[in-house]
Amino acid sequence: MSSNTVGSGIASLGALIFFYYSTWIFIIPFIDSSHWLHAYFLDKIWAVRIPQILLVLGLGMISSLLLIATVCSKKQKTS
Amino acid sequence: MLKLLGIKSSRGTRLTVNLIILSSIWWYFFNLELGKAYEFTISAVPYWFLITFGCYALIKIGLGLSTLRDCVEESASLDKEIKEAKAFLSQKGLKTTN
Repeated sequence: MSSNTVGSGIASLGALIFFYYSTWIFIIPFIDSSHWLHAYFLDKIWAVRIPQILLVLGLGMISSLLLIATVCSKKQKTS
Repeated sequence: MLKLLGIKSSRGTRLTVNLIILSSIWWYFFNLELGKAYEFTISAVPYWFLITFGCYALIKIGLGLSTLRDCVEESASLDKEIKEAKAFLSQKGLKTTN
């Protein structure tokens, strides 16, 4: 697990996600339903729902962490 | 991103100006009403920007990690210097944890 292989793995994962998502948003809506490419992609409405869910989860986690941090520091100050 | 217009501006001002210009371009196309297929794509472009930014960050981190070089001799000389400094300072009276 050298850092070189981990690094190239992360970079290729980023590239893969980018190309998959770009095809999903910009190419799939304009192609005929009978094309073979549609088999590799979910229904295009999920291309919007997945980032929405990720945003809600991510922002929720960040804000709850911030809340916990402030509440804990206030408790330390008063007690 | 838009180049400096020759006006001195902070990073924050440039960022907000870029955001306003891009959002107004997107808002213009959003209200153009071209057809069902275009409607979905245009309404999904902000999410595409977000995902692209995330992927750009991933790629940058991955490339940086993959091109990181291991410097063995510098690490050895740094260890030696740390030992010498510790010996010198403990001789002068500084207490160390190890």
